[in-house]
Amino acid sequence: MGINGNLKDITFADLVQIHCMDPRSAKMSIDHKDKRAAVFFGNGQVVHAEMGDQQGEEVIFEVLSWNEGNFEVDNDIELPARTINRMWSGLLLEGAMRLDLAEKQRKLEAQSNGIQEENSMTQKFDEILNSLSGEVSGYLSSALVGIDGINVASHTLGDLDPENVSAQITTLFRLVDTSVEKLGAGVLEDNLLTTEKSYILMRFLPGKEYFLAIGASRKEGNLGNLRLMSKMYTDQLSKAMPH
Amino acid sequence: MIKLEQVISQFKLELGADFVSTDVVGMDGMSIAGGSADPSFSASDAAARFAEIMKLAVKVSTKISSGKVDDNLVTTNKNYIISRFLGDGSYYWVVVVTNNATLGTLRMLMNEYAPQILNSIPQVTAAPTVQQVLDKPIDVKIEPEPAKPTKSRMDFWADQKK
Repeated sequence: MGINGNLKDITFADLVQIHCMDPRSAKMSIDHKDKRAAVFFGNGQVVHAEMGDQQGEEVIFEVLSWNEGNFEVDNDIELPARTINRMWSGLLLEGAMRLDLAEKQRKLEAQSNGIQEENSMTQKFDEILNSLSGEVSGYLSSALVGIDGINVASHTLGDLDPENVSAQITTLFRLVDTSVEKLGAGVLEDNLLTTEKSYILMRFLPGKEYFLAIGASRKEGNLGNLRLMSKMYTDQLSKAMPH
Repeated sequence: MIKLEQVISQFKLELGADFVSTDVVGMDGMSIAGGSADPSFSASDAAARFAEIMKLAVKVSTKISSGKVDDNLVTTNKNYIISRFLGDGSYYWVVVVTNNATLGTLRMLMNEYAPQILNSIPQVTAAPTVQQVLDKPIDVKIEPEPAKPTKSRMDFWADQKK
């Protein structure tokens, strides 16, 4: 019986190098999750590998990607028919190149998934704000705004500039928040600015990194309805946020 | 000022146990009347802070073309804080109540008392601005100076030699 251990402590590539320095025949059995591979060494080379129905170089390339699994080595065994003719150094080089390529592809896919995720999240916000527009009397506009004043999503009837409006009301909302805190007047829930032409309600989402702003016409708006809708829709927006 | 304090006292009575603080404040942030029923709540701090909030509210409303600011209502987990301009906006009025108060009643009371408060603020004739003084034409007639009698000039050194 030869050495045994786990691929957590020594890589398969290192094990190949070590056994190829020894002219004796050896069989290395490796368990990884529900797979079992067997790699055969003879005369300082890798001569055969098998895993289930698979044989040859592809088994080596797969085992090279394992970073954990118990292994044990039996020395001086009878070798099976040769299925691998490439030099051990060539095998390791090819294996490293394949791993590198797989990693790059994985990163590209993750990036593309991230973009897709972002797009679908923005779509969700747009849908929520669109739904809000149908529920608020005298609705003019709404926006999900970061506490830095940047719009995450907005929905406007008419020709309001949502970016400008969001930036302006963020400065007011932040001043109110600071003032309330300094006065010891509790935790800010919302701020309602009433002007000649409109009601503008600002309400934090939990965590206070974002807030929902809703504008409604002074003539047609209803304060009770506005406040109720702001509570309901901040809940919805908060649930749509990534966690 | 007594009249203003009386109006404010009446207003406080109407609010009852929900009342926390009220102030009538100049846009310099200085309160001219009012006070807090809660010793832990600083009315003067609130007056100064909400003056800034109201000024910013005016700027914001102008920039987004939303018209004149009527009032600003802050809701926290403990209080409602309503601040509104009085008259031409030289003063604002801030009211703080507990969040047990009925918001609709509070707004109705403020609508009722705002004109009384405005009428009770002592009206001081504004001092003319620098520009107004400079623009005013000079009204004084300048008479020419009467001719002074001539007098021989004393020569100190000449006198000494004598």
